[in-house]
Amino acid sequence: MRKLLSVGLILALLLAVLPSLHAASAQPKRGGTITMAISKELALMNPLVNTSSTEARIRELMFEPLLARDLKGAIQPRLAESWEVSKDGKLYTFKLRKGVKFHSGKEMTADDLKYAIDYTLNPKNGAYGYEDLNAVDRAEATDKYTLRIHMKRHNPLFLTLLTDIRAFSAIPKESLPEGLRKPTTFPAGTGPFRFVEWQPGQRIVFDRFDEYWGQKAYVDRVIMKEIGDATVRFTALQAGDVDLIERTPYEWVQQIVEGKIKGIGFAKAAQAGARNLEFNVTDPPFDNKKMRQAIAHALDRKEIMQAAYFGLADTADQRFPVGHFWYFADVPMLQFDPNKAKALLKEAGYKGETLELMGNRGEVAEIEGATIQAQLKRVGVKVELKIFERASALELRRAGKFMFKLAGGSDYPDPLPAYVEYVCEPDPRKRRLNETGYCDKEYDALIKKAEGEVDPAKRKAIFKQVVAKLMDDSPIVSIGFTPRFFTFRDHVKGFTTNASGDFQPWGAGLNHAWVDK
Amino acid sequence: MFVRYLIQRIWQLIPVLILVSVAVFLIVRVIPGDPVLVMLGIDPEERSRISEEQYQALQQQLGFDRPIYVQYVHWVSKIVQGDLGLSLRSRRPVFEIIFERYPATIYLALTALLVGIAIAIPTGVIAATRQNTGADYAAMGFALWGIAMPNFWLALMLIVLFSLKLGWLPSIGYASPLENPLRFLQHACLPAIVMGTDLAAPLTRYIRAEMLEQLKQDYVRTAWAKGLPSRMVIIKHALKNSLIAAVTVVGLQTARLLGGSTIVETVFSWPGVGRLLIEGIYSRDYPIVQGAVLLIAVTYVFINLCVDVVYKWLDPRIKLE
Repeated sequence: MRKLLSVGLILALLLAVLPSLHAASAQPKRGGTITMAISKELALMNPLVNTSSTEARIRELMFEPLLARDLKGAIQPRLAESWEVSKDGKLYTFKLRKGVKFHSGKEMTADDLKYAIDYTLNPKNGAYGYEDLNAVDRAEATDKYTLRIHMKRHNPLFLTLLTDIRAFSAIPKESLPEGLRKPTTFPAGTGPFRFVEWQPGQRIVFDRFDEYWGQKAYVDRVIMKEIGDATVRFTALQAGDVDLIERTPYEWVQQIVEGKIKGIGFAKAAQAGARNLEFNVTDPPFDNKKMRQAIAHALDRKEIMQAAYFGLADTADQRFPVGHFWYFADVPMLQFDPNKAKALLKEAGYKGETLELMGNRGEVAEIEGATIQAQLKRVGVKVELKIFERASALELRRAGKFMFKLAGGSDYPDPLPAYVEYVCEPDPRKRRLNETGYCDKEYDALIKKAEGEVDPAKRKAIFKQVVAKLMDDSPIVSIGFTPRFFTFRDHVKGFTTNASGDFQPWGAGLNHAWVDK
Repeated sequence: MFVRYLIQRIWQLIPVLILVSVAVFLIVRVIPGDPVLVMLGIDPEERSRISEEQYQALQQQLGFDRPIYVQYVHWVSKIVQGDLGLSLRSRRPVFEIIFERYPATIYLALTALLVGIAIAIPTGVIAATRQNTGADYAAMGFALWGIAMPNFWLALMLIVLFSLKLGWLPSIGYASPLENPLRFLQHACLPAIVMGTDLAAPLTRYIRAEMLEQLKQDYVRTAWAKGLPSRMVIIKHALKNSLIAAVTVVGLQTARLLGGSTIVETVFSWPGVGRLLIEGIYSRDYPIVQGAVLLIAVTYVFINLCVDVVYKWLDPRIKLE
């Protein structure tokens, strides 16, 4: 009996200890290296000049913007601890975080940030943020930790723009050469990783910055290797040559989801892009609103996204996803309803003409287009697919020579840049983004009102009207969001990304990842 | 006389090089894309990001506001001084970028050349000496397969087999043979097999045909009649004479290898000139494309010259005029 008791006791002890042992292995560990395969090589070592979206994602390891945007899209303090905006929106005062160190060991002060802003505003430097900061008159360091930005005019997006390193990032004063000459090494940043070396075509190496003011990275080192081809990238991951890859082809992700590929996990960026159907509203047949609404009602978004993205993508009916701060659940969508579509086609006087649907070659437009073609056939609409090379398609779109087209979209931090696209511009050559030719005075007035509004509640009310108006007029129909996938070997833990697929978003990314080997 | 021939040949190269430079310069300008936007990293579809003021300032700085012939003359006068311009994206000298990448391409080309010759010579000889037997059919089957097979497919199949299934060799990466010869061999093995096969396939057929031709010659019959051992007849007599003709094929293939294989370098993430060219094309980095294509063209022309010279050296009967 005593023996039995002691065995029981040991068993009970073991059972009590085992889960805690398991939990211990789930605790982040320091050390190790993550080798990551990226789709595009770095081009230059100037953090204020952009060359590709991948380039900005790489730089986010080393450089930081003034403010942060968290995973829900809210603006948070970062290098600036707090800020005040004057009533007329023309003066921003930022109180900077004290004790923030550059990788060089020097403390960051307001003078450094003023330098970065001045550098960006000089048109000769070709800085990417030049346009983002076009409302800025001048920057001023009133003391070591206070930065004032004087504006030429109010810009409701200004704080949002400052959450992105592409507007500007903190670098030490006088650390960049003037003009188009580019530095031969990166200036020091303030981010969680510091630059070690870059061997073009081979590898870029970063080490953890131990004096980082925020969440310090767990891994000692991150090595990035460029593998341009997506299939090769995934093969290298499977072969164990890299630990983490970006932009994994959907067919492989599907196999991971279905359990056919073992030992590999994934992180999803759900809204890395958007897919829309856009109508040329200046010419027949889509100058008729009912015709556009009919097509919208004939679309089965789920089927389109399933066919083109292996069921990994979400459908959309507005520019922002369901549940987002800027999604309006009370604005009714034009739902999939073939009967309504048929009725609207009749009302619009559609006589069976062939409609031409345009798309870009090489994207998923072929599959999406074929699915839409089949869906429209069910309601009696004949569609011919016109797939062009990107440059030719761009040319046709610029000339306004298309009936309707499949188009991509990016993710927006704020509704204003997303909806300002549809403001009237009658001359197709001058159109920046509104290729549909949509021109509505009421819509333009709403956007104008939104541009001048600072109050968040009032802004929300205005944008609800904007969305409702756009939904009713339907120059554009949202179909879905395109995801992007990071995949990694099982020993990489804690890696997550944001909706747009950044390597180092605020509150996630590589400085939260650790290696369990 | 030999020197005169050489000078004459080099003199003939000048119009070729001028034509190549004009073609490269014009082709790059016909491709859609705006160098100013490339430099800023702005997609043509988001042209609205850049103000007219900034655009003008940059265009002037880059010299793209001048007439095209002025740009060409400026470009050529710089090339003559060994300056290929600055990359639009990285703003580093193109010359420096290309020669940073060139060694990797050369090392791979030489390895592939060795692999190719090591496959082609024995296969060609066996096929010729055992004409119309199983060995001959197998060798010709290999040659046909090698020519027909797309490089990228063979590359992916080798990666699947040797990296993924067996785990013997790395799928991507590079190490310099001067720093770490063993790691270089590990990394170069698969790409060299792919490029070597590509070279070996036509070469095998060429050697076989040439060997068959030689084996029918009187001097070979005499060698057999003298009672020379067959190894001697085949290798010392027939093969040696067959190789003269093979020099042309090997020479042209070497020029191709030295231009860097865009596909193989991309699949294996090999940091060579071929991949640089592809990256340049994708990102519309004109100076890089111009520089890389010019380098490849010059390599071709130069190797052609070398082939002619070697030819003369191998077969003194060849007339120089």
